[in-house]
Formats: sequence, C-alpha cells, structure tokens
Amino acid sequence: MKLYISDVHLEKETARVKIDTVVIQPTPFCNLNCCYCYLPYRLNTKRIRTEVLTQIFQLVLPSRFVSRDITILWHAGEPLILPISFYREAFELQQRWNTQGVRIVNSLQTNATLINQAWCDFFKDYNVRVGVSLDGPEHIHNANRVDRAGRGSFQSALRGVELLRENEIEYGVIAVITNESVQYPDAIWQFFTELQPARLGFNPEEVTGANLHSTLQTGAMIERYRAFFSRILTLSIESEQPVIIREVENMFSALFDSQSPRRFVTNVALKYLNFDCNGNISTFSPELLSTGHQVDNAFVFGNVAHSSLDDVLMHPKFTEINTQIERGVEMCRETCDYFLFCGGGCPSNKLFENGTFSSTETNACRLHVKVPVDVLLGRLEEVYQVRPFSSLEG
Amino acid sequence: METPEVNQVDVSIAARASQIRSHIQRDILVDDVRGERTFVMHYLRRWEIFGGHTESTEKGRYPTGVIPWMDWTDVW
Repeated sequence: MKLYISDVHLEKETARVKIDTVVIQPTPFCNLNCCYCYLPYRLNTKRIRTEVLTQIFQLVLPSRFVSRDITILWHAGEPLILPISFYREAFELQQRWNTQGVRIVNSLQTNATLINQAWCDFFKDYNVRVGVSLDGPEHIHNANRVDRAGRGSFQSALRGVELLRENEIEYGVIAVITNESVQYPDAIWQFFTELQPARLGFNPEEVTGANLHSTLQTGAMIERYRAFFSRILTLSIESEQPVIIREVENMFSALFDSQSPRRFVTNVALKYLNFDCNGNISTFSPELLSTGHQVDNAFVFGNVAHSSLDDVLMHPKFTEINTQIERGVEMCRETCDYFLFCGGGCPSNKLFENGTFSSTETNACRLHVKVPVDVLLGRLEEVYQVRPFSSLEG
Repeated sequence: METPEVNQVDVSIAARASQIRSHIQRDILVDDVRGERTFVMHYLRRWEIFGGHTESTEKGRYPTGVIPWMDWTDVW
C-alpha cells in the first residue's frame, strides 16, 4: 500500500521539494556528556557501515529531488570519533555516485576536543566546513560541557580551536546559552572577539530529546536572555573587530529576501534529509531521528536498504506528519506577527514543547526569534529615530 | 515601492520591519556615495564577507535580495 497521496500531489511535491542539506549520523557516540545534550544514545558506539554510506549516496545524489548545491552535514554524535580514513572513503563514494555534478560541501559540527594536525590537514585538503560547539570562557564552558567523569572540556576544545586558527581554517561557533551564561555577555563577547570565528550563533538552551528542561524556560529568564542579547549587540556595534552574529545575519537576510516570508528550513519536507547510522531515513528536524522517538521509529520513513525517495514521500507516517507540520506552519502564519522572521518555526521544538506539530509558539521561538528581532528592530528604530510605540503612548 | 512615513502608528512587526527596510535601502545608497560606515553597513559588509550575498551595480553595492523588488526611483 503506497498510494496514500495521489500522483498529482506527488508531481507538485516533486516540483517544490529540493534537498538542500543531507544530515548523516556517522555514530551516535560522543566523547563528552554535556549537561544539556539532547541525544539519548550518546553512549552507543555503533558506527555507520560503508555499505550504508554507499546506499545513502546512491539514493540522494542521482535523485531528481536534489538541489544543484547541497551540504552534507556530519552530525548527531561527535563526528571526529571516526577516523580520517572513514571520511576519505566517504568523500570518494560521494564523487563516485555524483552523476549529476551536484556541488557538495561537507560540513561537520564538532566539540573540537579531538582536532589535531592530521584533522586540520584533512579539513584543508577537502575544504570541509567546520562548526565548533564552544560556550565561552573556561568557567562558562566547563559548567556544562563535561566528560563522563564530570571534567570540563574547555582546554581540549580550545587546543582544537587554536589548531584551526594556526592552520587558517575558517570555523563557525555555536554557543549554548543557559541561565548561567546570560550573566556574562561581556566575557563571552570578549572571548569570541579574540578567537574571531567566521560566525557565531547563540543557541539558548532548548527542551529537546533527552534534555527535558531548559534553564531559560521562565518569563524572567527570557527577559534575562533579552538583556544578554541586547548587550551582545551593543558590544558588537562598538567593536572594532566584531564577530558575525548568526541571529543578526538571519534578521537582515529575512528583511531583504525577495522570497520573504520564507519557510524555516526544517519544516519543509526533504529540505533536510536525515540518515542515522542504521540507514534509517527521515526529514524535517534532524533531532526527530536522533532522539527518543527513535525507539518506536515514529519519524523513520524508510531505510536506504530498501526505500526510494518516492517511497519516503508516500509513506503513511510521512503524509500524516507532513500534514500536521503544514497545519502548524499555517497556524503560525495566521496568528504570529513574527512569521516574516521565523517562517513557521522548527517542528522538533513544537513537538517537544507543545506535544504536537500542529501548534504555534514555543519557548525556543521566543528565544531564537522573538527576542533577537525585538532587540534588533528596537535598535534600528533608535538609529532611524522611528518610535512607533512612543507615537502610541504619546 | 512606497516609502512609509516616519512615526506611523502601525506597530505590527511586519510594518516596523517594512519601515526599517526602507530606511536601510536609503542608507545603502547614501553610504555607497559617501563611503561612510553606518550601523547598517557594518552588518552588510560582514554579510558580504560571510556569504557574498551582495552585488554591485552602477549605483553601488546592495544585498542581492534588494534588487528584484526595489523601486530605485523612490529613493534616488
């Protein structure tokens, strides 16, 4: 039984959907045990087999769904656990199956603790984009980013980042912000301006997967985060060598995008195509595949061993979830003034916070979108002496 | 595209964003002529450095997304 959606519907989907990012979980294992980590299986040392990798590239790269440019992101576990030889083989397989000449950028998100000169040589040889998870100065980073003995990972991570810098390898940073770190915007900004990453993103702690609570859940903590972000923006404006802030770039991008309002990338089917180390296939938020729902395969729409992408699109679970997600996005569009900037939000946040995809506001969207937009619009209104609220009050 | 009036009363996020967008468009043009650095250009330059999402025309350099829907006659 495959025909849960009509051929006409499939044609429309085919015309619209394009794979932009392929997320591959080379292993669920991580050498760290961060307090806020959302991955429940980070002790599992399983690694993806060459056969499965081959099937992934055979499935994706010749597909009519693939974009001209794609990013292959190695994530959902610590990717540098696997040896360099694994990635060399993987990249060779990509080339072998890239029959359409798709432009591929390989990217990985790492805790940086395992970076050595050999990895740096490899990153340069293959133009691998490197994202580092680093929370700030030592006392902030080590508050949460610890190993299984509870020891802070700062020195190991910094050693890795320094190697990237010595090798002139561009890297981005994602810093998780908690109730502790919101107290130190100046120290965090100073730290990152010295390291000069190519881009800095702030991830306020989220309720996702194994992380059942966030230290930024209350209204008071949202206001603390607002003060934190506002101070970061002030420091950025005053800085002679500012670091690019992802949230600022995103807002300007949304302001100027001719396609605006856009959809958030993980709420559009197939834009993110996600594979776990067993070859299971999912789409939408990668967290859906790599978290507790994996137990009953709730978000698995196929497996590379026996499924085509058409099978994924016609899978009854996909149809049901896609309908729920689309309903949630439309509810956001109809009810939320920030839709221009958020594009309907992240499905995993809606599920983990509200219990359903067919919902709207989450704490994550308050922190990720509403606070930065409020702060930035307010600052720009000061610059241009536009005071809509003053007009109303006055 | 019409340039919204300053201090208009509509306080929706979309209206505020539209208003700010108009100001930024004008700043980009003025900055390109004067070669000055403002708050906005501060970010646009980094935007360009990061992703190359700007393009040059005979009138100056702009974020790529501005070009398709901007009516130059309104601001020049």
